[in-house]
Amino acid sequence: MNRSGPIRIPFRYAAGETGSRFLVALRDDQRILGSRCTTCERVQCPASSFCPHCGGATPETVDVQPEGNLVSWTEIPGRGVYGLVRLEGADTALLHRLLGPSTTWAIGLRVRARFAEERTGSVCDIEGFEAMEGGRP
Amino acid sequence: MTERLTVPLTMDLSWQYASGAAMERFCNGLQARRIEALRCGGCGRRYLPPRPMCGDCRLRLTQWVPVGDEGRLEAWTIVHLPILDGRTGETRPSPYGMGLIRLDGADTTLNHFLVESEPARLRIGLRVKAVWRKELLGAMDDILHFEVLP
Repeated sequence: MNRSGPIRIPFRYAAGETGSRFLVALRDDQRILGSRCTTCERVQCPASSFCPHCGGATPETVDVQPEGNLVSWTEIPGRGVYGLVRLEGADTALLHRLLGPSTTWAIGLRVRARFAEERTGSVCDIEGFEAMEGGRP
Repeated sequence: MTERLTVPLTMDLSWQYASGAAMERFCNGLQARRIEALRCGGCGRRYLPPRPMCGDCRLRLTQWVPVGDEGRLEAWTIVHLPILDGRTGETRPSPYGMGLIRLDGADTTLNHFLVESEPARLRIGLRVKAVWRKELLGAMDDILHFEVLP
């Protein structure tokens, strides 16, 4: 005999100062922010209050482009396709949904963010990434 | 200063539970309003809920014995900070009672909900009775809760 049941735990994630700035820019201006490390000059995206590469402070947020290259991708059966996207102006890759069937995707493909119509201040204010016309590597 | 955001999220911890043969028979019995315990051939202890092996004798348990749906309240508490109910994923409205109930014909206790309009009269040793769901499904919550007998 097998039983199954739902346990869904609602919680609220406190985005903090830098995370909030990133989310507010998505929500209000459809802009994607990164943060530049004062020590190693790498740009993190999403913006973060410290540099995970060298531990330096990242007081400065910078705009990154809503376009970039697909670094890697995977399909989760029943859940869709997810990819790591390195946006223009960023040195790190962002994990997000890819909009389109698995036959669309290839490493190095040019992709562009599609913003959600209704934005609430969450990373899902980017609905996902679409393949760009002529974006084949 | 930037507006500080908190992002509402839901963590999905859905579960599956394989009951094993003893619990399967027990639950099938509930659907027929029948409660059965497993008796140890070594020490005679009657386990309810049933388990496949005696914790004291290490013997496999195969002997099913009937148990009543009334029993004795061995311990109780009133819960003010409810935990999630795994079967529904919701919290039960609080406060609510929980009791350890030793049913007539069993030697171990069953942990179950306890409903009593006058909690002040709860005490160890009270006689309690199972309140059954109208449509029995063959699940542990076919017994909705226990109530104190007058």
